[in-house]
Amino acid sequence: MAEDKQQEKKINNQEVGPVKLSRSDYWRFLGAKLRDLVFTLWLMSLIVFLIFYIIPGDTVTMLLGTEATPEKRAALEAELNLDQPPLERYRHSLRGLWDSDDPSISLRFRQPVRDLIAPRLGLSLGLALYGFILIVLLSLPLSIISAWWENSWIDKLTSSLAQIFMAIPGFFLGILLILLFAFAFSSFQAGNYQPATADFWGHLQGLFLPALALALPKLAQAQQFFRAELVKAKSAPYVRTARSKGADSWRVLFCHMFRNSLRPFVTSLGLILAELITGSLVVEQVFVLPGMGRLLFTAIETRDLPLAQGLILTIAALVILLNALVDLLNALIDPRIIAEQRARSKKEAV
Amino acid sequence: MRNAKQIKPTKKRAKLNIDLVLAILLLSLIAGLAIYGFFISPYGVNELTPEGKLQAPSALHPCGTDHLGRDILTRLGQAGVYSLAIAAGIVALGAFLGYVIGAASGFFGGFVDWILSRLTDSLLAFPGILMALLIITVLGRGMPALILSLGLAFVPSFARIVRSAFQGLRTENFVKRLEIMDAPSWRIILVHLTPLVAPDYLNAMVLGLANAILAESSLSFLGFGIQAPRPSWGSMLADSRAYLFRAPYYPLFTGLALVLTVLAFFLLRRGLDYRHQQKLMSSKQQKEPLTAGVELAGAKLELPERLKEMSKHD
Amino acid sequence: MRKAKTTTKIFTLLLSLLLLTTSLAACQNAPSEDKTNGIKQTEQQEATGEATEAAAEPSASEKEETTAEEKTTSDEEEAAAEPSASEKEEATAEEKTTAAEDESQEAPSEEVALSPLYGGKAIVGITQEPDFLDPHLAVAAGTKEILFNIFEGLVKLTPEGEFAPCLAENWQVEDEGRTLRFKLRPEVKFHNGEVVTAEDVKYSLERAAGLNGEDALLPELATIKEVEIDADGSEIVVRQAEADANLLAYLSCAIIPQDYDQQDKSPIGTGPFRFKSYQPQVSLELEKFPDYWQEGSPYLDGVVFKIYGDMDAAYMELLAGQIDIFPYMTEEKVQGLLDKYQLVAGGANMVQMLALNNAREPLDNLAVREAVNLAIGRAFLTEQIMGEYGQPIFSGMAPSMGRFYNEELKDVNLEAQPELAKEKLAEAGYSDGLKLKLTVPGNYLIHVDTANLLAAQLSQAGIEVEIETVDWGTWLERVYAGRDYQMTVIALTYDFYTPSNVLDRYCSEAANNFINFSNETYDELAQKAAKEQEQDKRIQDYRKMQEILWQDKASAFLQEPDNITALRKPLSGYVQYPAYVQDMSRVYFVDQAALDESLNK
Repeated sequence: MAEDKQQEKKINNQEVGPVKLSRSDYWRFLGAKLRDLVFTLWLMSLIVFLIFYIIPGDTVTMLLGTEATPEKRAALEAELNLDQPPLERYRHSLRGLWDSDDPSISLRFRQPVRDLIAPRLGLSLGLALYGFILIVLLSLPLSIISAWWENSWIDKLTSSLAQIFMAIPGFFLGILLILLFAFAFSSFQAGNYQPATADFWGHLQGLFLPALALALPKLAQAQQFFRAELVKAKSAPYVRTARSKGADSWRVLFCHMFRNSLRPFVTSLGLILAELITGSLVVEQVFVLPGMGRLLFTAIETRDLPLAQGLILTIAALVILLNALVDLLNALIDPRIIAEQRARSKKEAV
Repeated sequence: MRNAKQIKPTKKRAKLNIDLVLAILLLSLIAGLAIYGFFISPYGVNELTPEGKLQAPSALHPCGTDHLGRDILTRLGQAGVYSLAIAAGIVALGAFLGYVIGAASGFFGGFVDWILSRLTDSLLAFPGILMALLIITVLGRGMPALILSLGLAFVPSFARIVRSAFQGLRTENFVKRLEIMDAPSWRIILVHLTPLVAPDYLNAMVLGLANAILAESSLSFLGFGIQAPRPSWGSMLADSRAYLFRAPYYPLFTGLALVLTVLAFFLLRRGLDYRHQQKLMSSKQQKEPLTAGVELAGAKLELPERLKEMSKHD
Repeated sequence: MRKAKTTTKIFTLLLSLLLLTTSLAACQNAPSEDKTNGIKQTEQQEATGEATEAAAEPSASEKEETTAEEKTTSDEEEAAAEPSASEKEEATAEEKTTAAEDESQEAPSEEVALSPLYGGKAIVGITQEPDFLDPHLAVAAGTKEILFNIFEGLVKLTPEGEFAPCLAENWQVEDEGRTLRFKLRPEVKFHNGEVVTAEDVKYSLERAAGLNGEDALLPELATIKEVEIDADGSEIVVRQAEADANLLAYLSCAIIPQDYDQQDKSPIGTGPFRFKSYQPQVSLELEKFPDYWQEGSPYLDGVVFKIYGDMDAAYMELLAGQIDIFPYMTEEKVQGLLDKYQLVAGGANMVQMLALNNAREPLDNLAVREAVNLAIGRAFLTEQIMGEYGQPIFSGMAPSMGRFYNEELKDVNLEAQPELAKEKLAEAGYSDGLKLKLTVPGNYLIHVDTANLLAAQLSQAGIEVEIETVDWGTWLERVYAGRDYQMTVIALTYDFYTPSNVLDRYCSEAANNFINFSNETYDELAQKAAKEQEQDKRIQDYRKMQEILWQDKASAFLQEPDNITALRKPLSGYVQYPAYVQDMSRVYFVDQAALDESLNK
């Protein structure tokens, strides 16, 4: 135990040289991540179920509205299989997500939950990816430029713009963009959405403004963060050494600095992608896109447990998976993390 | 800039802290707006003015009137107070719970850490806005529900900061010595460790305020936040969407108030941050060079952490 | 280094200023745009569309007087095509068609005769997700207005508020109103190609009325005792235990093929359009039914109902010109559209009310309810909420109900009388003022706005109103079903176009009497009116009931908001029914070139 602690401390202080890791260490690392993932998802499904159990109103009430009569209620409840015990409905809302013989059926739409989620997941993910690509394409050059010419006018400009964009919420940015395009280019951009299958180019065009509104605040964050990382790396000893050995500036920048800043980059980009996925729920509303956001609000509003369960678990699983993926990538880049995890799990075992 | 400075510590004396000054200016602007909204304005917040609805800005109505003929500037001012009050509530709740959970998790480690980490993980993976939506549906719309739901959504990011700080401090020698001396854990946490974490934690809380305002306005925009007849920037923006082209001043002024307030807190945080570092530098306390972040320990995790909390708002 | 920071800050400030200036610049642009197309103008309704339809039936074209006040500058004319089943009626459906071309301004009375074109596809924007596609399960007004195109009953509602023969060619009333005998129209086909038989009709009615051993899907039909096939399957006899004069209206319920259990997924009816596809939250598509029994109908090849999350979302697409027909316009939003769209407005039998809980203190006191009613200025309220598209009402029935509507209550108390209200309050013992709680469903913006206005008006009379916003589910459970509230704002729509559907809910024992109104005379009148076979007496009874609601101040009934529909220019023929119905069979495209030409003349 003492040894472990010592080792851990060494890791913390980053003094450890090459760590030897067996394949089983990688598997154990993966296993631990997977276990956490399943447990987290299960916890969430339970929370969702409990909340739906408590909140006033049920699907039948919502569907019947002001026309509710006892007879109609009874007829509908039988129609929607709401006469089963709550625990059974909970179990089914989970099992039905992957069981294709007995799929989980949305109460509001009476279609399998999976069929409802699939196309919208595509759109929401597509939007997030679109925004992500914008972020990567723009933030990397911008941060390199402002880090390279530190304190030049361009650095100042990007930095002040970043400050402002970070303070603008996506939904307001959406409104601003719509107004801007309407007044400056007299083109109306909201509501030009076309499904990808019909016209892929039109699809991308229609998604441009939403993706921009989604990406800009995060772009600002990413740019500021990368810039700080690069500036830090610029004056790091190894860069100085490389330079003093006569390596030219661009070579230093790309080969040395960039690689060394890779880990924080991967981490932050992963987090940003996860946030784009949840962020798209709100931006969709501004731009009238048929994504998961609207479906989810409807599911909550109409107390549609199976659908809400499916959607929330999908979104959460995506976010958690991304986090796990980031951890994994980082572990591949820097195996010390796994060593650390191994040390910690040993400690736990003791 | 900050980083560069740390690496080549300047010997210049601390100059005027522009961030701080600008933040204070902006905040007093917001305060002025609030005072106008509550005390100076000749109109009531829900008063239907005789000029009628959707009037463009004029001397009578500096920001115009809304779709019911209410004075927008008055409403903006009052909305700000509600937003700030709610944001303060959210941060107080989130920071308190986050501290308790983070401290326990970081200090004790082991199983406590595992179970608490899973809880915060699931909260974190659970998009904050969903969480808030569900809690609001349970409690009914209104201010208490808003504070509770968003406060809970803010817990994980606060908890993580404290956890990583405590994990680092835990291995420090003075903590070990205290433990050998049989000092009770709660005493070590409260008396010895808390003061060390406090300055950065306060800083995180200022940032939290900005994010809380953003989160509250997002929810109000979706119709789950502050409810009519109380004004709120988010719900005013949602209302204004229908009159985007007829009355563009309505969304623009509303958005401007929101953005400037959030900006004020961003700047305030940077300003405080800068001051804190200057103090550290002048008192030559730093044992090792502080890196870009402000967190004490767990240095390698700090930036992504900050990124995480920064972007918590949607 | 510090200098750098300073510059950064200055940039930040400059950019904020830039934002401000853009906003100011934008403000100056906007209002001027409105003025150019703000002029409204009445366009003559083309008679052509109606005439074609009238060819199938004996037509009786008649001038109509409108019941409500004049709403537009020019005259209103309406060509009624449907035959009235029994008697001549007063005007019910008012039509207002407004457009804003300068051309038509020059020649306002010119008759634009454009022949309808066949073909084309219309996109209709809707904001309510369909609830059930099975016509007997559907409850939401937003679903029924779509299903109106797919399904038909023995009789069918007309734009004039009558019930015209449909799947039944004609009918007789027998046995003092207890029995109705329908002669079925021969050779009518379902969308699956099969001919409608008497068995199908019997099955449909029994299913709806709960005569098949299950719960009644349409409780209104529960008075039916027996459905019988007669005359070798060419006649259907509907028998009731007790006569219900409203039964004919209820028999507009959909006739569906026997033992087809996929109605909710892929509905099959006899209407002018057949179901094509439904994607939740995206669209519901209908296509022309070529074997429709009525020759020459419909004009359109297909209709796409595009589903939007809310009004604002749909409005965005409307501005972008992506929607052909949009039925839920509001007054302010109409402004930006008049160059591309024409407007059709009319009552859709909706009653917006400030519901007062008659069983809650202090509203159980008549004087307090009187004070609330006196404090409300309906003229101002209607103007604020609906502009020129709303009629103030004082009792529980909207002018759309035509002859059943009590016209004496048209304008009894249009302006607010805060002083009188204060006197009434003092009389009730609340001379120091009164505090009331108003619960509003937050998802309906119109009700939230109304609540805000009401709060302002009531405060003038010393009644302090606390507004509480709840979500729809909570409202339904707590306010509507639980009756746990003091005041609430809501608009009621009705399943069937019958006076009993509108007024019976205020009977003491009615399950949906959410205002807890109780008046013995009222209850007796309701029972009497339902059985009354003589139309005049029946009308008198219902009018008397409305008077009681006003006398007793059952609630503060506010207005009948018009349904305003935007219709893209090359489309024509849209007719507003006095109910929530989108009749797409009458809509057609006109030749754009011919339209331009006729407008240029």
